Order: sequence, then C-alpha cells, then structure tokens
Amino acid sequence: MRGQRRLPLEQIIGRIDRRLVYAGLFLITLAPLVGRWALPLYVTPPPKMLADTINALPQDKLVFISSNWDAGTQAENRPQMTVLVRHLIRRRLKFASISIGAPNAPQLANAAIEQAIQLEKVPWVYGQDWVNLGYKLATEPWLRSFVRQIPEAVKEDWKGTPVDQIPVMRGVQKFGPDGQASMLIDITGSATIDGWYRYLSPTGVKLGLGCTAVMAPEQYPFLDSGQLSGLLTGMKGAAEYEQIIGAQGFGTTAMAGQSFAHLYILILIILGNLSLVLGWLERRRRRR
Amino acid sequence: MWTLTGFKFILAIVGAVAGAVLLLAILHQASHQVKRTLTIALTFIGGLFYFLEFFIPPDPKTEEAVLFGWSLTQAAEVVGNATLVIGGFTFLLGVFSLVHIHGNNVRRRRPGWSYSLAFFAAFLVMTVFAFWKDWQTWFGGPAAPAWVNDQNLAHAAMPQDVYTLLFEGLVRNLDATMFSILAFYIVSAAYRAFRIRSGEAAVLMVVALVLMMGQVPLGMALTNWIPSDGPWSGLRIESLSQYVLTAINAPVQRAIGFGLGLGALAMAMRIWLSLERGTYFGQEV
Amino acid sequence: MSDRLPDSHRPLVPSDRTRPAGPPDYVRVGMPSPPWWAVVIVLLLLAGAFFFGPHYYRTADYWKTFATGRTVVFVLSLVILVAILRARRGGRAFVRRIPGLTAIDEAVGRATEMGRPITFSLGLGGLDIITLQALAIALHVVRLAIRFGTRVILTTIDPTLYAVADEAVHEAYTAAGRPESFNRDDVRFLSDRQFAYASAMVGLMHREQVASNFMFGQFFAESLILAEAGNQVGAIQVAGTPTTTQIPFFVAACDYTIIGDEYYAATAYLTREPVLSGSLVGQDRAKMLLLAVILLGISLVTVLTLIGSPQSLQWVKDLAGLFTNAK
Repeated sequence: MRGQRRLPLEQIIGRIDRRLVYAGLFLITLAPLVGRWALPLYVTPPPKMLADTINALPQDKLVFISSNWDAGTQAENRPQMTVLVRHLIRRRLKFASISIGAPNAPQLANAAIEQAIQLEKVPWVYGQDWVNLGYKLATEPWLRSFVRQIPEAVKEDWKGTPVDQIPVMRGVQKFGPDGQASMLIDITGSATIDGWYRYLSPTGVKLGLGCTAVMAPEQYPFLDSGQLSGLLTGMKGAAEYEQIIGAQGFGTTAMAGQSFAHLYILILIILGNLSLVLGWLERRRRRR
Repeated sequence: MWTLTGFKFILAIVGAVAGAVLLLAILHQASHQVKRTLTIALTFIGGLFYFLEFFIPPDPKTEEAVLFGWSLTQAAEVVGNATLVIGGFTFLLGVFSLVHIHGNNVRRRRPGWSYSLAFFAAFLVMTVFAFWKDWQTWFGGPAAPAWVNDQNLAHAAMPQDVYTLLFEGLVRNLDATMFSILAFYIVSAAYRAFRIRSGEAAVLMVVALVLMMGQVPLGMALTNWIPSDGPWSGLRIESLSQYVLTAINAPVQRAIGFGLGLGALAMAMRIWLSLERGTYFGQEV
Repeated sequence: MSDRLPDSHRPLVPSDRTRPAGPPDYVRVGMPSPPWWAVVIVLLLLAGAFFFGPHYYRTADYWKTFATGRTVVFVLSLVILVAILRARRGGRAFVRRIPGLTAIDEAVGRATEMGRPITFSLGLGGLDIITLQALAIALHVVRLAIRFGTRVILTTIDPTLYAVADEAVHEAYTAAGRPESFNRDDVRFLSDRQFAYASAMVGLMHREQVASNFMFGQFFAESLILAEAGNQVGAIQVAGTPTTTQIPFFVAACDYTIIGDEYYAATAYLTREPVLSGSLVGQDRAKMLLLAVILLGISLVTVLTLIGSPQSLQWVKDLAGLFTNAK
C-alpha cells in the first residue's frame, strides 16, 4: 500500500513483544515435561566426586543432610535431595536431616525423604535409620556449639521427641575422623554452606553440596581446595547423579525441559544479534 | 544462667523497664556531643568483645576463648540472644511502618487503596491463627479446636488446619510463583543484553554459549561424536564448559573473594573504630 | 543553590555561609575517632591473654590447629589499620574512576528533571557490614536528592535496619535544614520474606513510575526480578553487590553495576575522606601481601617438584594445610 512503509526486518525482530517471548518459553519448557521425553546425559566430575565420597563412607557412622531449601528452589533441590537419600539408603547409611536455612524446610525435606524411601522399596524406619531434626536458628554461637558437641545444640527432633530417645542419634557426639558423624551434605537454595565451611571444615569432616545452578560457579574454588568433596549443580547435578547410581527420577525428565529452554534462549540471542547486524547493514546502505 | 521465679522475676522485669526508661530519659537530655561520644564508646566496646572472642585462641579441650578466667564464648551466646531479642522488638517498628503506610492509603483513598485493605486482611488473619494455634502452649487456657490446631498424628506431614492452609497453601506457593518469574525475566534480559556490540561482548557471548550448551543434554549431543576417552576429548562441549568453570571461573571467584574479604575487613574496622566519619550520622558526606 | 548537576569532585558540603539554618553543632562536630589508645588497649589485652594465659597457647600443635587463621586475619587487619592511621595525618590516595559511582549523580539528576521519584533497595541483608555500606551509599543519594528536592523511597527487608535507616534519613533532612520535608512513608519496611519483598518492590516501581532505581546490598534470586521491573518502567538503574552470583543478572539488566571490592570502595570514592582513602590503600597492601604469599607458595612447590625433594615438598604442603584447616 502506498504511504504505509513496511517495517524493516531488523525492527520486527528487535521489537518482539515481551509477552510473546514469555509464552514461547512457557510452552517449550512444558512440552518435554508433559511428553516425558528423556535425553541422554553425560556425567561431569563434580557429581562423580560426591558419589565416590559417599561410596567410601564407613558404614557405622551417621551422615548429616543439611536440608535448607524452600518451595522457591524445590525444582532444583528436591531431585538432589531425593537422589542423594536414595544413594544413602542403597549403601545402608543412616542419616539425620537438619535445617538451618528456612523454617518450613523440615516439612519439604520429610516429604522428599519419604518419597525416596518409597522409590527404594526398603523398610527404612524413622528413628531407627533416619531422623528429621527440624529447623534450628543458625546463629554463630549455635553453629559453634553444634560443631563442638552435637547433642548440646540439638535436643529434640522436629516433633519434639528428645534426642536421647531416638536410637539413630544415640552416641552421636562429634563430627570428623574421630567423631560419629562422617559427612555433612548441604542441599541449599541460600548461602548456608558458608557457615559449614567456617565451622565444619576444620573438623576434617567430608562436606558435600547440592545447590542451585546460579550458586555453583562460586563454589568451584572450594572444590579445588578440597573443602568440598563433591558438588551437585541444580537440576543437572541431580540428573547426573541419577545416572551415576542408576536411578531415573524427576531430574532426568526435567532436564529435557531445561535443554529446550536453553536452546530457545540461544535462538533468541541469535535473533537479537541478527536485528543488530541487519540494522547496521541498513544504516551503511543508506549512508552510501 | 540465673533463673528467677515469682516475686523476684517480677521485680527484675520492673527494674529492667525502670532502668531502661531512666537511661533513655538521660540520653534524651544529653547534648549531641555526649550522645556521639557514647555511641562511639559503645560501638568500640561491643566490637572489642567480638574481637577478643575471635582472636583469643580457644582452649583445645572446651574450645572456649577464655580471658582472665572469664569464658567469652559462653558470654557470646548470651550476647547473641540479646541481639535476637532486640531484633524481635524492632520487628514491631517494621509492622508499625507497614500499618502506617497502608493505613494512610486507605484513609486518603489513594489509588489502589483496596490492595492496602488486602494487606490488613492478610495481616489480621495470619496473626490471629498463628497465635490461636499455639496459645495454649505459650499462655495456657483452653485448647484450640482441631481446625485451628490439628494435632492428629495421621496428618503430621500436612496438618489440616487454617494456619497450615494459609502458610503451606498460600505463602509458599506465592513464593514459588515469584521465583519462577525469574525464568521469564532471564529470557528477556538475555535477549537484550547479549547483543554483540564490542570485542568483549563477543567473548562474553561465546563463553555463555559454551556454558549453556554444556549444561544440557541437547548441547552435549552436539559433540557426542568426539570419543570421550581419546586425545580430542577436551573439545567435547561438556569438557569445555568444565574447563571454563574450573580454570577460568574458579580463579576469578577466588580473586574477587580476596578483594571482598579484605573490603569487608576494612569496613568492619572502620565501623568498629568509628572511622567511617560522617557517613551515617553527623557530618555530610 | 545551583540546579546544575554536581560533578563528583565538587565538594558536596556547602560552605558555612551558604548553609541553611539548622542545628549548627550537628554538622561541625563530626566524629572524634578513637585514636591510638583504642589500638593500644586491644594490643595489650591480646598480649596479656597470650603471655599470662594457659600454657597450651605456646605449644606447636596448638598453632597448627587454632592459631594460624587468626594470625593471618590479625596481620591483615594491622596492615589496613596502619594505612588508615597514616592517612589521618594527611595526604590523599588516587582512586581510579568508578563509572557506576559517578553515575549516581546522573541518576539523581535524571529523576529531578523528570520530576519522578527514586527507589533505593537495601537488599536482603540485616544490620551487617555489607548492608551498612549500602546504607552509606543510600544516604549519599538521599543528601543529593534533598538538595534537588527529589523524593527517594528507601526500602528494607530487615526491621532493625529499617529503624536505623529511618533515623539516619531523618537526620540527613535535619542536617540539610529541611526536617519538615522528611516523609516517614519514604523509608519503608516491606516484608521480611524474600519474594514478598521482591513483589512489593516491583509494585512500588510500577505504581510510582520511578525515574531511577538503585540496588545496593546483598541480593539473591530476587535481583533480576527487581532489575527487570526497573527496566520495564524505563528507570536508569545502578546496582552494586558483593554477592558475586548475582552480578551477571545486574550486568544484564542495569545501566551500571559495581562489582567486587569496588563496592567497599564506594564511601571512600564518594567522600574523598583521607581516612577512607587510607583504608583503600591498606586493602591494596594487604592484597599485595596475599599475592606475594600465593606466588611464593606456587614457586616453592614448582621448584621443589622439579628438583624432587619429597620431604621438603611435604613440608611446604603441610604449611599450606595450616591455612586450609585453620579454625
């Protein structure tokens, strides 16, 4: 039509409506989840290190899981928690879950642990084989007393049962090589691991970490220095761990969704650059 | 620690309140010069306590820092609790701020004042049910009905009462919703930010691509054809991404960590010794 | 008062003759900073504890497990403190240009031109070092805004911090001679939950159509939510955080981002106060010291590995272990 100038391509690309972009992302992430597509995965060293560490733990000592995730990060942290608990159960390692990150973390942890026990189809009894110690307000003095003498800082489980009446906690006093707790795995969506580095690392206890993907880059120096004995990075970490111990779960399924979302972002970045290049060519053409 | 009961307990509380009122009255009358000197002295003494608690090496057996027979570590727990109590009181100030702002919105019928009503409704309902639920445990009196405090052991994982409904059913999901919005925002931010305008931006984008692809199976499949144990295995996308994370990212994180740690240390000392002059109060910056 | 934007080198303190009436001693008194005696008390107490303390202080085992880390922190603190004390005697240090901090003036000026408010988020921290630094920057912004008659809405997630911020902003208005312009509703406690705070901030930015948005302090997952909301209302955004995980998000969505230890250099940069510049010099020296230790360690290990003396190599490794396992 006369008078109505057609918008140049670069402007059309450069001005894609935000809502359209968001709708695309929604559909692309949803499709693999609904269709339950699974893609093959390759295992990277950090989860492998964590699995090796757990495989080398002594049978008679307790493992602590510091479960510090909330509803917000459960997409990343819950599969990590489930798969780690499954591994512990397979190795018949008794464990205690304790939360310092969020007040409602113990409930979420409990649900994840129960799901893991169900998936493993092993009678893993509360109180005998595992315990949920609930939420503690992790002030500096509390952290110190927890590291010094566990029963001093933890007096009851999340339902108020005194610790000395819980068989799995009997005799558990200290962390480290000469203590009764061999490892602490922090599964977290916040900065709780800093406290463990500061207070637990010096005891010589093994520290493992499952964190959200955003937090992972910051943790690599600790992997290098040996302060961390393994690292699960977001949902991908969980999926890789599922692969290592041969237990397919939510992580593997959800990775397909993440895969396509990444691809989608990639295409958008290319489009964004295309509009930039086209605009530049257009300006150069006009100048001539 | 000391435990007081009965008359002594009441006397101690009355004494503490009277002492606080007297102290505040004296402080209120004092000149700015005195107030300032007092602030500096208190900051210094408070900091000195934690300084000594950290620097005096602890006893290897009890792991407590001891100064002239006085266990600083045990005292630190008391000081920590005191800080929590002060924090608890300031929470009231926060609530006052909220009530003030939203109260004004409703009173003056500012645009969107109905949302302020929603604030009051949510605030009231949550407070009532949270207190009612544990009233008996804290203050005695009759037990709350089952719909307010569900103690049925069969429902241990998810009690069927109003508080749980509000917290687990509402607050938690609202939190999760806000968090998931991130996924959408990161798309629009990346779309805007990753335009190659300079050499640095190009490097940034290439690295970002490698990391993004190394993170997901689809990306890993791209270099699937390179044997994972051959001499070229380092060129597989997941190896490249691990290389970026461990050989480039980790040292940079460490370097930034050093700078930040020293910055925080210097800042802490400036505040402790009140050298951050005029920043918060007094002289203009 | 001139309406022109101030450049960062112009003294922001009006001279006494132009200063509006207000409580006079507020401004001129300043802070009598603790002099040498404070440092002497501290050193004496430490020395006393060490020499008259229990015998285990003086055993080698003890130093292996407990004392090394503390000694490192102590030496670094001393290096910084000496630089500060020397700077108090005079002299100024050169501080390179930090675009993000220079942009603060620009952002305040823009809000003034557009006649729209500024939002300042203090992040998710409580009353800690990081957030106190954020508050210092916030007060700089508030003081600038008072001069231009622009509104700054300061938001916090921590009630204790709210109380301090409210008082400090109030005093900034009083010091500027305009206590009546202070609006109590402009310092706000929004919520103590992360995402409730984020959604309240997003709503605030949209409702007020803010012209500029500042984000300083500790940020976590909400960083991008805030920054994108600011972007959507077209605000000019300046962010600064020591939380390294959030820097990529700020860089993607904000106009200026202050990263790493630039964050802690902010007050020194904004005030050009000799004491604060001295602290920066001290930080740099401490950094050089750490760098020297690292280089020494690397060269020792490399040389000993090449020459091949297992015992001496083990000795160096043990020495490094002291730092890793220090309590």
